[in-house]
Amino acid sequence: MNSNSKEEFFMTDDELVQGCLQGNLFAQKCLFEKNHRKMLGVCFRYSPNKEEAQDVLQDAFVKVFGKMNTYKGSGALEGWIRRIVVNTAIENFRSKKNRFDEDIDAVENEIKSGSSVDEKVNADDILNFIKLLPKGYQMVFNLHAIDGFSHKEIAKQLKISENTSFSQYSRAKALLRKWLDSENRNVMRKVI
Amino acid sequence: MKDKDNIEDLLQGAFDDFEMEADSRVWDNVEKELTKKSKKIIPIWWKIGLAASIAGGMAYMGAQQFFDSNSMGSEFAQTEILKEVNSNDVNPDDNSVDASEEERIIELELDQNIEVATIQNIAPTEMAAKDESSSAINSVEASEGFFYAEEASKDEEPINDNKIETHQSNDTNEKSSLAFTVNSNDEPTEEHKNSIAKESELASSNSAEDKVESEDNSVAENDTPESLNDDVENSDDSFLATNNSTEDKAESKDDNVSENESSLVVLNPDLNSTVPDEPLIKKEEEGKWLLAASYGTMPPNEFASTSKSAYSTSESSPQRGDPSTDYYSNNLKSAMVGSIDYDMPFITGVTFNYRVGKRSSIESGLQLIRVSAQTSGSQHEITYFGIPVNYSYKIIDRKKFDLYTSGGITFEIGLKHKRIDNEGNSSPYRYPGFHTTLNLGVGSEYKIGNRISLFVQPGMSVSVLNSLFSYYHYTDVRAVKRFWPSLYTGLRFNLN
Repeated sequence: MNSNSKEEFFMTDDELVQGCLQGNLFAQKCLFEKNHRKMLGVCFRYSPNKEEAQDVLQDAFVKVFGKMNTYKGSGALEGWIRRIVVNTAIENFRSKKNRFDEDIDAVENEIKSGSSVDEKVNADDILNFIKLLPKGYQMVFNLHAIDGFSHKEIAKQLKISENTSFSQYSRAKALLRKWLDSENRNVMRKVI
Repeated sequence: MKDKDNIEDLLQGAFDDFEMEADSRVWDNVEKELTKKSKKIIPIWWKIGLAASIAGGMAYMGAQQFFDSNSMGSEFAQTEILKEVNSNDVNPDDNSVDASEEERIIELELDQNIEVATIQNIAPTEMAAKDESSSAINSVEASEGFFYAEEASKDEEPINDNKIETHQSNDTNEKSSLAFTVNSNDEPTEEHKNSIAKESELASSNSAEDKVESEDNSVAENDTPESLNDDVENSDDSFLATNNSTEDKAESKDDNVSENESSLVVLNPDLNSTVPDEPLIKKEEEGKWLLAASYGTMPPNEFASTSKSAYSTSESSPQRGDPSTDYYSNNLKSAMVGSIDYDMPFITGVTFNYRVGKRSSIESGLQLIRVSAQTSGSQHEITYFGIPVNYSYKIIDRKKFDLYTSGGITFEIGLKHKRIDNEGNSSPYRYPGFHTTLNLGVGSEYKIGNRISLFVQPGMSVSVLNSLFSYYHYTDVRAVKRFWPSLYTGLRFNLN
């Protein structure tokens, strides 16, 4: 997959878009190569495992190539692709009929409360802790805290009320704050 | 220690450079999807062409049937008028006809002149070899290979020695089709001979067995089947040629794809000429069940109204039809005095669609069909309860727009047949009967919301069985005209 990694970046985003619009398979592959790693990271945040994340990524890129004629070129291409990837992840979440009322007491009881978040947290830790959240919490937290969706947008996308979105986010944030505390982190790593 | 409210900033920054390597299968699957989609372009256009051909063929057949039916109605009327002429104006005891009929015959003879003159042009040498008295007869005999006579009313008994019948089949005053028979025991008169030789307008014979036969343009029509067959063969060839060229295109498209795969040149100029791919976006998953509320109609009102001059019933002595007897032959026997104005039939219904495949679905439900007609003395309204069973196949399946073909059958049971007289009194009429229709259409569907779409479906309907076929009260226009253009429109709701 990395055999063309040098050549692909000779093409600018505009050239890639033009090539994709003409149905040029090579341009499509270049666009995929250039963006798929970061986009798989996005998919992984919304998926329980890498396998499912890759399935979402695949669907998302088919959409990207199909919708390429709607890209106006006004914003960054990566941002436009990211939006499609997130929307695909949301559709995947909805299709799995995930619920928002999962019990998290079992995890919550393992950790102390009232602690603070250390500055030296890395993405892996955060990601692992996010994945411990109930599915609904995960989704709302990812959308609001990381991908910048408003609660109104989240409510519309997930077909829940704004209040539900807000409360789920607050509870998710509180949990993560506990888990990311330096005292609790080792406990959480064992759980993971 | 970070402020606990800054956790969003902390998290957002942590994922800025977060990346993962995907398995090679991901791109392979994406590539498969892209290739599959681009290969589908050709079959889609083939299907559109096929659907358009079917719809066009049906429309052509329907139009032909419609106009044929009109002319048939006039034919019936003319036959009846001439029967009246025969029975009223021709005196059985007298070999002459009245003055007005004579004028009519002269008109017909003038038309006949044109054809006999044509015969002379075809065989001038044979005509010259014969004596004057028989020249016209021989000329006609010489032309037997080209002209075939049509005997009008073979079943009719001769009214008298001079039997004159006209059979006029066109719907206007134009006499394009004419059969003319003269039987006489008299010797041909000098006047006849002169008129044959000079004007070539009438053929006569010496005995009752002799016949002078002439014919009209039907000869040319008899020749057409062969030429039509040739046309069909030619069209088959062109069809195959088109097919081959399309396959060639498909192969060349595949070649382009394989070139793309092997090329490491950035934006190979050759590949820039690739035909733009169709949108690859997957349509949002559709439900299995759809509910459709539809309104349908058959032709525009004026289209139906044209039938009033062509179809008429006997108000004075309605004959109850014998179901075993052919509709058209019965019609010939019935006198045609009154006329009927037909209203535009309309159909409302609620149907359910069940998807049986990715593109195909089966539709059934309930329909209410109403037809009405006004005779000179009353108005008739028939209401049917229908159950349609249709199969539809999506030719184009886009996110917002679908194009599909639909075909099936509708079984209709009559609910009521109401007769309203001129004074407004309403009374139930005869048993409303039943009706069966074959439907074929090409529809387009536009999604106007998440679960709602608007559809328009023009097509053709063919009446295959109607209990009114055997009656002479043509109160259901569909019993008279078998082929109809139809138009359905309505909303479909996704129930899943």
